[in-house]
Formats: sequence, C-alpha cells, structure tokens
Amino acid sequence: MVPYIIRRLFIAIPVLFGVTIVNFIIINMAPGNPVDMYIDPNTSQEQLNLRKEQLGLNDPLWLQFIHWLSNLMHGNLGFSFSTYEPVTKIILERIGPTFELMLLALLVGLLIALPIGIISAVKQYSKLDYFTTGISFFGISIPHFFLGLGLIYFFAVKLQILPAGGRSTLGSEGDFLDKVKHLILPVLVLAVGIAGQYVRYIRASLLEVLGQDYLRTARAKGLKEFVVTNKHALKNALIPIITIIGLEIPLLLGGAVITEQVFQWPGMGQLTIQSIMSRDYPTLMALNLLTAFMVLFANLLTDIVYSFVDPRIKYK
Amino acid sequence: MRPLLEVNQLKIAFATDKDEVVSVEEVSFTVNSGETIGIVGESGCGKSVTSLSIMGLLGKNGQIKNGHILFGDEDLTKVTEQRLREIRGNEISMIFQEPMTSLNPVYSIGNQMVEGIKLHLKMSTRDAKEYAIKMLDKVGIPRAREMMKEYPHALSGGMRQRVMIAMALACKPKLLIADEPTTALDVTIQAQILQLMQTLQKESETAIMLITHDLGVIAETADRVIVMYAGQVVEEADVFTLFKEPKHPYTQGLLASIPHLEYENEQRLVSIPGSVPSVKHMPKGCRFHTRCPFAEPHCQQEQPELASIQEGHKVRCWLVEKDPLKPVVEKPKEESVR
Repeated sequence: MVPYIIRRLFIAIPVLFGVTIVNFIIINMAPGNPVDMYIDPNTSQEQLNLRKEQLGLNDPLWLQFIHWLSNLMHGNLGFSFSTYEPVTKIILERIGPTFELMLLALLVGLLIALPIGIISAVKQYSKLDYFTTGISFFGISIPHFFLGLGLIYFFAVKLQILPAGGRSTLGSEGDFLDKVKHLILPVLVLAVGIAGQYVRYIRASLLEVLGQDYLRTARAKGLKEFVVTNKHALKNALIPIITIIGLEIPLLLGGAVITEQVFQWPGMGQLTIQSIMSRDYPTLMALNLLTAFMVLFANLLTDIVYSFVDPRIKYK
Repeated sequence: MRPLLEVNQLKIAFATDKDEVVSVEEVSFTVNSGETIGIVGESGCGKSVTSLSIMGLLGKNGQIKNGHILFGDEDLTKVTEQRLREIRGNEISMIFQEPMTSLNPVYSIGNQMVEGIKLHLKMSTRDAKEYAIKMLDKVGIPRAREMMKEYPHALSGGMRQRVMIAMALACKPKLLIADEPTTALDVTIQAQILQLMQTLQKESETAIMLITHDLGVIAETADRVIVMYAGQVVEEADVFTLFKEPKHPYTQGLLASIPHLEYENEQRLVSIPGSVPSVKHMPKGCRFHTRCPFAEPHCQQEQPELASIQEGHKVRCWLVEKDPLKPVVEKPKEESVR
C-alpha cells in the first residue's frame, strides 16, 4: 500500500507541472492585465509602463513562467498584484472558512440523502418514491443564488432570526452560537443541492444491488429486511458513491463561488472571483495549483478508501 | 407418520406490469424426514419458484394464490413474516445455484457465517466463531480458521458452495432446499459436493429437496423424484421406478435424451420436439399435448389429474388413466443421421 501511494505521488508531479503551464497560458490570454484593472484611469501611460516593468509583466511569457516556477520551488507563491500581501497568507485566511462551510454542507447533504435514497430504492415505484425523487429533482435544479436569496429574505429579513451573511457578527467573533447561526443558511443552500444529487445516486446504486443473489442468501438466513438492506446491500451500493464523493473533495477547498458571494462568505470562492476580476496572476496561479493538487489528492484518497470498502481491490 | 413438509395444490402467480402470470399450478408433494426428494424439469417449469415459495422468498411480485405449505403443524402460507424469519436458515435452509454470486463480496466468510449462527442459535460472537470454524471444517474447507477472514473472491466455486452448505447446515435444519447446487460447478467438484451433502444428511437426519435438471444427479442421490413440466407435477415415483418404468411421455422423453457413452458415433441425440409453452399461453387440456408423441384428441380438450397408479407412483396423463396396466415404455424412435 505505502509504495503504491508513494508511486502515485511521484506520478502527480509531471501532471501538476502540465496543469500549471496550461493555466499560466490561459490566464495570460485573458484580455487586460493587472495594471489596467486596478489603477486609476487618469494615470499616465508612463506610470503604467513603469508599474508593468516593476511587476515583470513586460518580460516574455516563458520567462515570467520560469520566474514563477523558481519562486514556487523556494516555497514562495509570490505577492498578490492587488493587495501586495503574500499569496500564501491570503489563501490561508480563506481556506478555513471555505473548508468549514463545504465540509458541513457535504455532511449535512449526505445525512439527508442517505435515508431518503435508501427508502426510495427499497420502495421503488411507490408514491413515496415518486415524491422523494420529485423533491430531489427540485433540490438539483433550484439555482443556489435563488434559494440563497429566498432564504435570506425569509429568515433574515422577515423573521429576523438568522444573519443575512458574513461569518460572524462584528464584535462577537469568538461566540460559537453566533458562528453556527451564520453557517445555517449557506450550509442549507449547498446541502439541498448536494442531497438532491446524492438521493439519485444512492437510489440508482442501491437498485442495482437489490437484485443480487447474495441478498437472497441473506434473506434465506432469516435476517430482517432492515439488516439485509442496510448491511448487505448498502455497503455494496456505496462503492460507486465513493467515487462521486471523491470528485466532490476538491470543492471542499475550492469553495462555492455563487453561494459564498450571496452570503458574503469570506472563502476561496470569493477570493477566486476577486482575483479573476483584478487579473491577480500570482493568486490565480496559486489557486489553480491548489485545485489541481486537490483533484489528484482526492483521486488517490478515493482509491485508498476503495481498498477498505471492497476487499477485491488490493494495491501493490 | 406425518410428513415433514406437505405441499398441497400450490398455485403461484407473479404480477407483471399489466396482468398476472401463473407460474406454478396444482403442485402437490410431500417430503419425509431424512429423505432426499429430487425435483426435475426444464428451465422455467417452476422448480425454483416452488422452492422459493416454501422459504417465503418469492419477492414482492410473487404471490401464493392457492394451496397450503404445511411444515410440521404450521401452514407457511399463513404464518407471520416474523415466524417465517425464525424458520428461514434455522428449520429450513437453502443453497443456491450460483456459488459465485450467492456470497456477499464485501463481507468476510466468517462474518457471513456468524451472522446466521448468532441469530438462530443465540450464541455469543466468540462461541459463534468457534462453531462456524467447526462447520467449515466439517464441509472440508482446509485451514478453516484462516478462511474465516477470507473474502468470497479468494475462494473457488466449489469452496464457496461448501461455505454455502456450511452456512445452510449450521443451525441443523430439518429441511435443506438445494436449488441446482452443482449446476455451476465442474463435474469432479459436482460429485464431491453431492457426496458431502449426503454424508452430512446421514449425520443430521435432514431432509433434502434437490432441485435440478440433471437426471444424473437425481439418479445418484434422490430417494423419490418429482417431474415437473410447465408449472405442474407430471409424475412422481421412487427413483428406481422412475428410471425403470417412466409412465409420463415427458419423463420418457427426458430419460431418452440422456446421452449415452455406448451410442454409435453417428447416432443423433434424442430430443423432445418443440419447446416449453410460455406461461402466458398455456395450451388447453394436457399441457404436454403439443409435444407429446402419443397425444390423442382427448388430450387437447381436458386436463388430466395427477392420479396414483401404484403405491407411491403418480402420473398426470390420460394414457395411463385409460389403461393403467399397459406400460407406455416405447421410446420415441431414435433416428440416425445417415
């Protein structure tokens, strides 16, 4: 197992290198440049050129890339073009809130989806099944910004029991209850979408397993239907679900762009939008690198989890 | 003595999208303690459905429409689901055709063995494990203790079927239903598995209901044989009578179509012409008349009853009804290719 993991990590290096090259090219192809984006329109052309020279933007692309890469090798992700703060510091500030939001949303979503998915598979084609599949379709299709605004209007404006946005009330940063209150609405918005999808996945995956011979064996042993479904069928049905959850892991750090925007959540999604708007090349490059790393890491993690759930899979 | 299991006029139907399809009709037979009863017939004749109905495992679309399944003093068609669960795996066990898919791939052999033992014998996990190892040992699994930790994929088909047998016999059932237990195995393993079942049967006085389409297996193991065709029992007799003096034209056809080593090279294998009628379009009258070489106009009109012609020998055929003493042993003509 360990040699396998080490090998996979080594394979990841060229992949990450390729991803950064492609990203670098695409980011630089976007119209405009950092200097145009944040300097007063009345600034003279000479001053703009000077600034460009200072940031190294007049160098040929390949040289800029080499600079970036050699800085990366020294553990230096550079400085943001718009705030002049170290990129590492910016990202570290944002990663916590995003991780907290996304992990909670994923957990809540799965907790909702699991029982509903199981019930609708076991009672396939019943009224309950039609009802739950209908509801899950609603969960998948409703846009996050719409649901978010709706919830804000209802809970924050009308009932005034929950905050409309942000991560904490000014002045009560350490208050746990205050934090929870801020989390409820954005987590709910994201969880609805996640639950909607996973109800479908779990239902489909379980239906595939329910006709298997080994469930007949389990029943023939005299086991209760509850045990047959939740022990014998579910573990088999979860194997494909793990793949899909694995695909979700990069989002735990990538953040939810729209939901974070709606709720003014100081996370990675917002940071991404801001960096794109201001053509903040170093921050964008760092964000992309992080995402690429997370995708590779999540794939590896998925494969490792597989071997725990499915005894037929062994890595050497 | 009262039989262990008495199936009486059983009728089973399956609900489809539009209507109901009757798959088994008027099936009656008995199984005595300690005996082996063989049920033979082509695919789709209702063998497996009959056995699943005894276990109460027809699924949500299957339903017993008529008849009784008496097991001891209880009618299994009427008892609660709770009671059925107590019987399943405890008093009646079942082993299935496909050992490759009948074990759950994600749980260890030990886990799957212990489950049933704990449930029915009310043992602690530790005792159940020891007991499971003893059972695995009994069915001839080498290194039983280590096998407990193995997963099904690491075992061969024969080994898996042994595990299934160990699992089925763990609670010392009164009746073991074996639904094509050797069909998926190669011939040498087949013989081993059959032998194993017989040895264990002698030890425990378990009755075995052996479902198969392999007449060789029947000849080898069964005491009594039931021949099924198109959802009905067409003949019932002890194994010697059936192989020596088959009365029903279908049984005769089945026996005639067994390949023999001493046949000439060019001799064609005998087969019953036509195919099994579909459950949706059952012929009127005798269900076999469309394929029967002796069919008479009367056969197309009215359905014969399963009638006793001798002690323990029952046949569903008009020919026997008419002239019970005249044996219908003439086999269909064996034609040669050239």
